[in-house]
Amino acid sequence: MAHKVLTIEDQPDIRRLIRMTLEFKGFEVIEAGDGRTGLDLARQAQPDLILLDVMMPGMDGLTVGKTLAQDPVLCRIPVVMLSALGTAADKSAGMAAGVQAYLVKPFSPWELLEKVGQLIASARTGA
Amino acid sequence: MTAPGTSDRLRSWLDRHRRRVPFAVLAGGVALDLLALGFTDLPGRLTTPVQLAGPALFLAGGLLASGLLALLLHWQIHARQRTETLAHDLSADVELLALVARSTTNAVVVTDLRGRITWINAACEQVTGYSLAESLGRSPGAMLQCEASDRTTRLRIRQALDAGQPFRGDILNRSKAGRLYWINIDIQLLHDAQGRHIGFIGINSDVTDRRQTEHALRVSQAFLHNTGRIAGVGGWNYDLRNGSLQWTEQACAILEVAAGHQPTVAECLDRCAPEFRQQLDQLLAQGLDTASAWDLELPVVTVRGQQRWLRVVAEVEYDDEGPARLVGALQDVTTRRLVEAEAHRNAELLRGAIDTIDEAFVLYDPDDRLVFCNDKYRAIYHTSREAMVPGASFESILRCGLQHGQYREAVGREEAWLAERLAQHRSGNTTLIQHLDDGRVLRILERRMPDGHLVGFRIDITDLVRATEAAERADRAKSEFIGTISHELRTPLQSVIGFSELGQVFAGGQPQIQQMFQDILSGGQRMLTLVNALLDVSKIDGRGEALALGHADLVALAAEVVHELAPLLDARQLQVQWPQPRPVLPVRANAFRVQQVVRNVLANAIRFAPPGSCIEIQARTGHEGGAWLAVRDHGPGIPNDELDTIFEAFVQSSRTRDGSGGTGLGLTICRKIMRAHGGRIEAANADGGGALISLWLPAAPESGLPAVAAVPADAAPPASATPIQAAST
Repeated sequence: MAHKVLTIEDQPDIRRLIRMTLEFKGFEVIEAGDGRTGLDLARQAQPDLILLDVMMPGMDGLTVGKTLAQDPVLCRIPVVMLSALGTAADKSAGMAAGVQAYLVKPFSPWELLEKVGQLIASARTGA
Repeated sequence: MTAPGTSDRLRSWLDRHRRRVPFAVLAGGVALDLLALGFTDLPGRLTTPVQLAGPALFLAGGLLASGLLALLLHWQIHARQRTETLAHDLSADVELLALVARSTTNAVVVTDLRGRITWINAACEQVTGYSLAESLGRSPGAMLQCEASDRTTRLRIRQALDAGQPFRGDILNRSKAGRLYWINIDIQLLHDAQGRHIGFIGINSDVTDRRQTEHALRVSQAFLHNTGRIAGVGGWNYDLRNGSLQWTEQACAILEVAAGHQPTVAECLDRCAPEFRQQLDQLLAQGLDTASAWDLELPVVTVRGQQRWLRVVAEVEYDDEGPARLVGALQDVTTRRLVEAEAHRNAELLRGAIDTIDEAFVLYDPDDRLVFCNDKYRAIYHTSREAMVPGASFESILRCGLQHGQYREAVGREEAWLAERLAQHRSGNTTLIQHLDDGRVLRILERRMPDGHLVGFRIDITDLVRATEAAERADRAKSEFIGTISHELRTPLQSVIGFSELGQVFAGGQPQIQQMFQDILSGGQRMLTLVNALLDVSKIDGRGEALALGHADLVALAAEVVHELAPLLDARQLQVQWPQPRPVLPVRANAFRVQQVVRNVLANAIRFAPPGSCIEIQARTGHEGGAWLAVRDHGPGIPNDELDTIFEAFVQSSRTRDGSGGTGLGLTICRKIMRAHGGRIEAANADGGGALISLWLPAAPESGLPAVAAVPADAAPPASATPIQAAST
């Protein structure tokens, strides 16, 4: 059974890139265009992994990340934060929101696949 | 006893009747004649004339003889009488003189020809303490003169006496009891009745009092003269009745006239500056009327034409008839006047300068009362300028300003602000910024002077503050702009890079499509390099992020970069040549940023070095201390006119304008990084060709800082370009 990845990203082209990359490797991809929809979808679909953009209109990625981390059920889902903000301060702010990985845009599709594969594997082993 | 008594009686009888003796003798002679005639039978013989002739002749002869004898006696008696009268008179004079000599208060000394005392009077005994018996046979000089006696005077006395001449003069003597006393001696020659010089008589009067008075006068005159000379004070005396003037020696010296010159009033007035003449004339004339003292300073011209300032003081002296004299002093006060004039001029100059300067100046006395402020100060605090009168307290001036809301920080908390401001002011060492109601900003500097006065400056820094704020705003805006732009550029690059990477795979076996995606990918990555470089520039410009510095070895940092770039070196068959032995260059640096610089410089060298050549790394302690590291290639070098400009943003060297992919920011970033370290980067062409890029970093201080790993606090995104793509000229 294919692993389900939820992408919360406001930009359609990025969503498409992620979908093509992940589907290329056999992942099932579901998408949300903003934070609030993303949270609803996460509760509803219980994905294996969430890719979360930081800079979004409305509820931003950091808030979504914190909400996920504080949710007793959703907190077990690994989250990869995607951001064009690449400074150390940006990264630590992201990690402080409770995410498991931080990828700076632009990332390589192969880098994304590697990170997603690692996290799903470790989540499965309960690490 | 009887005989002399008889003889004396006889003599006194004879003396009494001496005049009658010649007449008795004459009468006796006539009687004897007549008697002799009677005994010779005169009548018988008188019968004839012849018989009468004999007795007549006898009578006549007898009468003649008696007459002659009487005459002789009379003459003798008369002569003796005269002699006796004379002798009597003479002995009375001598006795009177002796009485005078004995009883005079003058000391009288009589000596023989050899100067030995033969007699002294009682006064002399009393004065000298030597009795007549003690003095006899001694020389007055040897007996009375002493070491203190004037040698010259003693010699002159000796010479006068030897030459048989009189002497008159003063000499100091010593009495038998040792008392010193001054005498005036008058030595005259003594002659006997025959006029022969038989000795000397000296009449001496005690002049000790006179001499002491004279000496005291001389001492006091010398004292007066000396003090006058030392103090530069001359004396003068103006007789109000006859208008005569007298000057002391020092007064003459001050006016440069010959000592002893006694000038007229007119002469004095002539010496004065014209505008003072009338005043001085009046003061001299008023002496009689008002009898008041005065004190005046006036300019004069000395006889030799020197201009001087004199202080002249006068007091009135009275005698029985009222004001008699003006006595006074005059003093040369030229130097003091000059110094005062100079000080006054300086004070005026200073005040003028303070008024002229463009900064507000204020001076408070030790009691915090306003002494002086310039126009600029009043202008700055125009709201409270009405309170700025000399003598006003600092607090009253502040309160005036507070009432009008002059101090922006004080609004709503006036009393608390006033207390703080007064405390700062009284500390005497204040530097603070003050905002005024009209929007101006002042820098206040207050310093206490050693004498307690407080000097204050108010510098209007409104423009500076506004400019600084504007610059900071602009700087922030620029950084934000660059940051935003960079972010907004990186997000679309995600699509470009991501899809082209995927596209290459999805193209499968279609080489043309694969190449298309490869070109898109390369373009995307070049753009990403540029965007990352822009981000670097904005970060280093942004001031907010100080570089985290630590101890590091510059050579070790460079060696890591060389190792990292080994694949590029190998690809072009380049050798890196290190100094032997490799030195250790401790620096205080941000290792990540310094490696970024070395990477950039080395990447440029790799690009321009001819294949198979050698890249030399030089490293040593710098001439001014610190660490010096240079990278030299054997490539074409840098055109001389570009040596200075290659560090400027977006200036690409002509040698790289070949589409090889430089951002034009690499060396700019390098320079920013070096400057942020307090270091330098310089470009030159090496002797024998090739570029020589030198780095210099200041030496590490002694205190140990933590070594900073080559992992940046502000590391660029990992997708940052490969070193060679970061390189630019």
